[in-house]
Amino acid sequence: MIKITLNGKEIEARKGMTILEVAKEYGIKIPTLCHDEELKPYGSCWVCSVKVEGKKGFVTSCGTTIEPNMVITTDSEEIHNARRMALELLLSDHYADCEAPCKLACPGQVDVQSYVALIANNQQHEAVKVIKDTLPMPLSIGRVCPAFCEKECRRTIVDEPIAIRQLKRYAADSDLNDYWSYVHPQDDLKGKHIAIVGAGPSGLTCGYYLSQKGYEVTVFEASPKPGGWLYYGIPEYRLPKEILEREIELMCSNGMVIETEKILGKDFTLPELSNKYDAVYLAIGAQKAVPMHVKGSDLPGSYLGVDYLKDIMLGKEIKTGKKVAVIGGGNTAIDCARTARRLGAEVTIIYRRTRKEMPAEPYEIVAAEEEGIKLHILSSPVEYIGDEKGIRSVRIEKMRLGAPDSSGRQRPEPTGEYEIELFDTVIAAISQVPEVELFSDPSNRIDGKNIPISRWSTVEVDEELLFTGLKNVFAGGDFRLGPSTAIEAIADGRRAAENIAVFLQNGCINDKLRPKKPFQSRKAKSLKETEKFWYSTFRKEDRVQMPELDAEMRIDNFEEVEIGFSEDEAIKEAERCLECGCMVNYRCSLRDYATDYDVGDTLFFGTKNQYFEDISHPFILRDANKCIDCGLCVRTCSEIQGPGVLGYINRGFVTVVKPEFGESLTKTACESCGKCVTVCPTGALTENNTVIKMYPLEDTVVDQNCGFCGTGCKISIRLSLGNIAYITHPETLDFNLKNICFYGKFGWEVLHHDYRVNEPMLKTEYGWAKIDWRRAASILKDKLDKAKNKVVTVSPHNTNEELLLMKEIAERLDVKLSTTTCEKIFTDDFLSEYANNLSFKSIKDAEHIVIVGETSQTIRVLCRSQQLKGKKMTLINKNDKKFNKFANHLFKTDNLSSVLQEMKQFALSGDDTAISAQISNLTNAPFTLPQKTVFIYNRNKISEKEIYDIWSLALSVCDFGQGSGVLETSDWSNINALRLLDIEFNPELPLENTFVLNCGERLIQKLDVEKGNYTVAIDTHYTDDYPADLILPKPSYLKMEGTSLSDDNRLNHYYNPEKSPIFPTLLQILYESGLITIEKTEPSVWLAKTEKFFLKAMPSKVLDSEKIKLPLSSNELSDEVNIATEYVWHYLHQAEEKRKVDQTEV
Amino acid sequence: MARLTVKVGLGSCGLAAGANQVLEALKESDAVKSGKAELKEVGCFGYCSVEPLVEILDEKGLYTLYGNVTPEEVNGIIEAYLDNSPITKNVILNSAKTGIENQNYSKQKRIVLRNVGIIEPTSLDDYLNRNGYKALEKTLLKMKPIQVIEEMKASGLRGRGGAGFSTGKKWEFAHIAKGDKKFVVCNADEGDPGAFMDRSVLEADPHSVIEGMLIAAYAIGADEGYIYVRAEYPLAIEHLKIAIDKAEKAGFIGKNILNTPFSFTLHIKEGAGAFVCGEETALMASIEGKRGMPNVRPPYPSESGLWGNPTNINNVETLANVAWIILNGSEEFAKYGTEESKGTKVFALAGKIKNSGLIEVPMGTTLREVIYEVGGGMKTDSPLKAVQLGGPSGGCLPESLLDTPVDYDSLVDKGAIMGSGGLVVMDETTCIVDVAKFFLNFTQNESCGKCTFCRVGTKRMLEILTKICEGKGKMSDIDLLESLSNNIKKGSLCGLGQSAPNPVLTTLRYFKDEYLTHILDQRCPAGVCTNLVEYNILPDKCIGCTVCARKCPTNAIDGKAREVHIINQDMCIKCGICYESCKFAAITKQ
Repeated sequence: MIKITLNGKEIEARKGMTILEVAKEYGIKIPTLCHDEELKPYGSCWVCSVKVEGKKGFVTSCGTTIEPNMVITTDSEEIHNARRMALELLLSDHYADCEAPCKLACPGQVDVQSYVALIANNQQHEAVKVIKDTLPMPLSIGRVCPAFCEKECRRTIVDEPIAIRQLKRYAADSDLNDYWSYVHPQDDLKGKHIAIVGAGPSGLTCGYYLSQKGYEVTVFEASPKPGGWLYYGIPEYRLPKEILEREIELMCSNGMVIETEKILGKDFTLPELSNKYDAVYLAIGAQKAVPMHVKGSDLPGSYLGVDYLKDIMLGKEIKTGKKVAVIGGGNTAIDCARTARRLGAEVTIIYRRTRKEMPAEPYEIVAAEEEGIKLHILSSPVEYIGDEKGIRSVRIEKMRLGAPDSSGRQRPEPTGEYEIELFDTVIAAISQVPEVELFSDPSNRIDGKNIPISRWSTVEVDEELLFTGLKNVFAGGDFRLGPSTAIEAIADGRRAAENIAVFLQNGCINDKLRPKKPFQSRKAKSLKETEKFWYSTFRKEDRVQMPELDAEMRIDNFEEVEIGFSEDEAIKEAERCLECGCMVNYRCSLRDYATDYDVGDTLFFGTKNQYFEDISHPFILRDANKCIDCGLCVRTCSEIQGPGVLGYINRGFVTVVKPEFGESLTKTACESCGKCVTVCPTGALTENNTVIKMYPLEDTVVDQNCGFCGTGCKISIRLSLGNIAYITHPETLDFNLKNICFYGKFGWEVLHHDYRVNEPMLKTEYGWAKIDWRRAASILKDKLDKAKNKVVTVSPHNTNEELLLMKEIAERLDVKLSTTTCEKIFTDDFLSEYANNLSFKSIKDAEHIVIVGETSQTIRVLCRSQQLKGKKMTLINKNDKKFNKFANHLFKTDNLSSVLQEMKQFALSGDDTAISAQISNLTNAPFTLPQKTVFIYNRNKISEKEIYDIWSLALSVCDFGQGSGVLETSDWSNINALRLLDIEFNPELPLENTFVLNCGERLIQKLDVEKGNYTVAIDTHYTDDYPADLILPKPSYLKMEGTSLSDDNRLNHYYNPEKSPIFPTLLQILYESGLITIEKTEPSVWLAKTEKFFLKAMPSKVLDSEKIKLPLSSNELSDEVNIATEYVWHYLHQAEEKRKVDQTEV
Repeated sequence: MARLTVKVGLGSCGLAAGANQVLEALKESDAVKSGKAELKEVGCFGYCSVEPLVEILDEKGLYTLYGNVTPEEVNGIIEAYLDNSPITKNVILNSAKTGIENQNYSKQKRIVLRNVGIIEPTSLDDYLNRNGYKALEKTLLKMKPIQVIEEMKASGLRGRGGAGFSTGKKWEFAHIAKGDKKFVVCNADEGDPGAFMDRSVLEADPHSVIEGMLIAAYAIGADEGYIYVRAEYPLAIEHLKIAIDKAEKAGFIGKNILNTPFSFTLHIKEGAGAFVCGEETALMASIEGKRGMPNVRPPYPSESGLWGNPTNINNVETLANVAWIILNGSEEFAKYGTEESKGTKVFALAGKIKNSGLIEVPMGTTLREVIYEVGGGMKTDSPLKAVQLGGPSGGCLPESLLDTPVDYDSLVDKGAIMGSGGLVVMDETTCIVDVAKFFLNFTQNESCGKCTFCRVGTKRMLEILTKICEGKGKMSDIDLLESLSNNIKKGSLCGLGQSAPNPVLTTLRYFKDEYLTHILDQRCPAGVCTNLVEYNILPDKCIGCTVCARKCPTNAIDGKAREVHIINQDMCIKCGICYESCKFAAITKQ
């Protein structure tokens, strides 16, 4: 221990620790981007800068080892500024979007990218869940939104924007029409009450989120129906009232109460609300029409747009004449025109400027024209002519466009030319304002103060906090914004809910309680400024048009015009999404630090390095635009994993990390272990998910073991809305540290490919047919009854639960459980009886590690980690793997046995001339074999003869104490359980009248059906020529709860992260066919059984050299172990090949 | 015995000026063929501006140095000399001493360059004749390693690579470090623009460096060494190879040198010319076959260097001092220089100075003496504006600081550094912002890309400087430059980054006005920044000769013959051709 001073405090720390490590121990958070515990200090990012007294400048805390009496400061203004500048510099060259532009463009900040991806994955409920996180009215908004998102959609650069609004509607419709609709569960009731005035989109939204959070909400609405403008302003043909009502009904699922025909200022006053409730949200909208002051505007037949639409909805008698003029160019004008048209009128829209300047959505104008509505541009009505019977005509002045006004649109100027046109009805829809007169009434004052109102009749509040400044009153929506869109009102409603919750928790709201905004990196501020070149590689794909009623079908009724997407159309459209937002935006260290350090990206303007994304690798996506040159991937690949396929190219600012020779990773020696992805602190390297369209969300973490091979690594499965997003190492590192091999990291994707068995499959003359599980059970029962001989076999790729299940079935059928997958070798005899004293964890106790033949990537890397800590590592193999370069001594030979025998000779005699084929690699140190040597091999990769030679050598070197002995590994996830269960290896199969039930095995040969044989397989996957007559679905390690024994006798656990019902279904089939009893159909029975059996049966006797009985001579050994290639391996390979082909086709 | 010895300077500088053709002409001459004149192929004479150079030594021991010699003239010069009527044209120096130790250079003291331009670099005998390998003999036979280290410490020699760390101490660290295997490395990755002293030493006197390495190896206990030399120095590499080969054959390199237990093997590693590879840890990474990128220190190379073994790295010039110190004693060496900076320093003089070339002066000589007495003063009438020292890591000192003595600490104090010895003299036609931009551009391109501040920070500084030169600068840019500079200095692993902002910091310190003129007045006083320059024709001087109009590449000049011309500013691309072609000084540049 040495003494140092850390931030003014004298402390003791272990010698050799870095400042970063010491700080961590003392709970001081120092940001770092380029450091990893497994690697040597590098010190490139400088965000971990600290000050050490006596040292010039800063030092990197990751790269500085503490020295006695060191005085360290980990934070100060100077340090903070330097870290912020480092982050600012990194981000000034970060050509990337944290969030997709569509999300940022949406006033409601709806996570468009995620829900579009979920629609592409055909997960409608999940899509709706994502939408409702920020937007609770997708049924309505999916119909009426002007879609700010689509205007920023980058797909526009390639061809056309994604039909985002239509997709939202599709998801919401599907959710609504399904047997259940998504409802967010309610938090515990908080015992607080909130009053909301106005049941428009803003008020309802606020109430929705507050009721979700456990607040009791009452909404007061002046009109007879809730929905506000959506109900009274948007005509039926755009938003059917029934849909709106059902939407509001869903919004009230968590107890929001709406009281209609309750008017503020009449039925109750503001102070009353404020006193009675814990908080108030005023969302009264902007529904008062701005009158059109022209001569004759008081004549019968003259209406104001808002009143016209509202009166129709209220069922009032409205006389719409034969010839209708609608004045105005906004959405309300169009709505009035199309409504009047549906009431049988001939309609003309009169607008002061030209079509280009019309604020209405272009597609709405087109729809109006399709319906026969005329457009009269550059026209301004100056007088309605008529008498007490009504309007007869309108005098219109011609206009021309002048200089642009403050909005950038050209100002209309009168020309002095007039014309008179015949109209009997005029609907003026020019603008609306909130109705605010009531707030000037003294009875609505709070603490003697009026609600602050602007000269535009809107409420004046802080645009983020929405607090009026008066007691507990908040206000927003159109009341704050003036007439705007529903989505903007909704955005205010949600913000109000958040702030009211903060207010209620803290008893106040102020600047300090303002939510911190996450850092946003953006490729460009707008679509217009986005560099088009980088989109040139995307293939054009037409936008799917949403089907509509034909014009003639719609002009005489109020049927909804848009028909909606079919499932195929929606998926096709959703798949067009370019996925602009970063997939790791919720777990990116760079972004988190940038947020912590308040980095804005405005300090440095300048060039950014820009590259094409590299999507050539099936599992690893590389986006150099996001690379911060920390080199973690480069170093991990070359110093730990071995291949070293990544490196820096160029110098200076244009330095970039690329695969060797700038090639695609697929053309390098990359072993696809994915460790580079694991260590990347940004989104420069990310996992590609080939199963689903990915999206940047993560909601569930399941830590369990990997079930691909006997190493049984600890993995962390990251799921989002039921999908596995990616697999990585657990937060708390297990024996395998951050290492997961290709199979564990990416191999799981094969478990989802097309040839998986999800339901029973029957062989027919046309190939495999899916059948009902009851039918499967009856076939099974029938064949079982008929068969004379019965065979039950299992593979070493089953969980303990499956093995016990099969054992029980075998006993019930009175046969011995057997396996044909693996041949017995001599080590099975003693390894079944004795626990191996070595574990993967105990490799660290060895002084010397000898790896013979190929081993799993993880074991290799674990040995390498130990070597970096000073252990010696010797490799004996045939291959040319890049990992060989790490060996202290490398014996690259085709004849492993002869090297092993030479080593034995050397071990016995001490004569190093006995070893002929030595290649020294890292040092000149002579080859030695200390007692603390561990030999590691994989029984599937070398012959039994070679295994014999290893044990024989080990017996002359090791004492089988700590860190001394042999570690047998395998490709199989559970060979040790097979040994414990005393399962017969390689039985003779009767070739006639035999019923075979095999679990997880692929029999080498299918028995002939003609001879009365029948084969039932339980398996995860099938092929066209699968050797069975019936296949039952088998769960994988991601689809069942269970256990297995690793090669080093650890009990591995699986927790069914995918919540799959396959295992109970299988049990049900087996029960129905009479193979198990009813009480055994419960999966938990098997878990309990495992616990009982394996705790008892697990060998506790420690292996010692005395107990190891080798065959008398190597001649007794079978020639070659039959290396069974497991089907998963086979499929993995196939799937990889297929993806490669797909890739090249693209 | 020949009557004359004729030496031809065949350093890279000479070869570039055509010395090879001069040599060929000499070889064909009657005087040489007849044996009246003996030819010697030597290295750089130091007078690089007047290459090719030929020095003649007559029977009386008189040296005459001819400059700007052409192959056509050279035989005439020899013939005339043999006729006892030497030609005086082209004579640069004329003295009883060898030219390079001559009068104008009297302020010089040549320790490092003791053999440069005197011996044939490919001749081991020449080296031996000048006490070559005598120092090695002395150390191996008479001194213990620790005594050698003490001697070096006593001499006060500091690393000539730039940072100026005590050589003796460095050796001591490597000596103390535990390790079965140790290395010595000679850093010959001279990368500063305008610096060429290491190249000249290697080309002209390779054995002195090798001998220095051998002594260092003996002192620290190393048995293997590398000379890391850039591949752009082919002649240096060739001469080194020859020298190593000859030294091996003569038993100075190999097993049991001079019949002692000391053994040593020496390799040449050719570098690809990355500036950062001059940094110790990057250099070692490069030798190991990795990308040349600096590493975190500690551990220092003396503890864990090449392949994890204790390694001592010295620069060429440092090593060239070693044998001299051993032979003449540390006291003799310490006589030269100042209290903290002992011995001499080689400088490469360049820029607007009359005698550009290679010089060696005792530490403590003032800049004024170096420029005006040794370097012959300014080249043109334009007055001295600044002296740039230390290359891209150094700084610009103004005229008012010319009395600063050349030693490590004084220079650092003023904001410059000794560096490897590049010294560029600038006059009023140099734009100081442009100079800062030039060096930033260099360091930015040469940054290895590892440290954030250096990789991106220098780029942003360069962009700001470019903006200022284009007249788009803002006052806030000065603050930004300063805070960037500060953080880059404090937040970089190696010297490249730590010193990259120096050219900006010193120019901001001494020439801030010039920055302000660019930003506030939109003017470049030196007329260098094209965006800020305007060319105009003075009506009273223009005679309407039409030359400028005809030469203008964009036809931006209007005017009829014998009438005053006018430059159309919208069309002018500021190439300056009109300015240069006007014979009547009628065009102004502002």
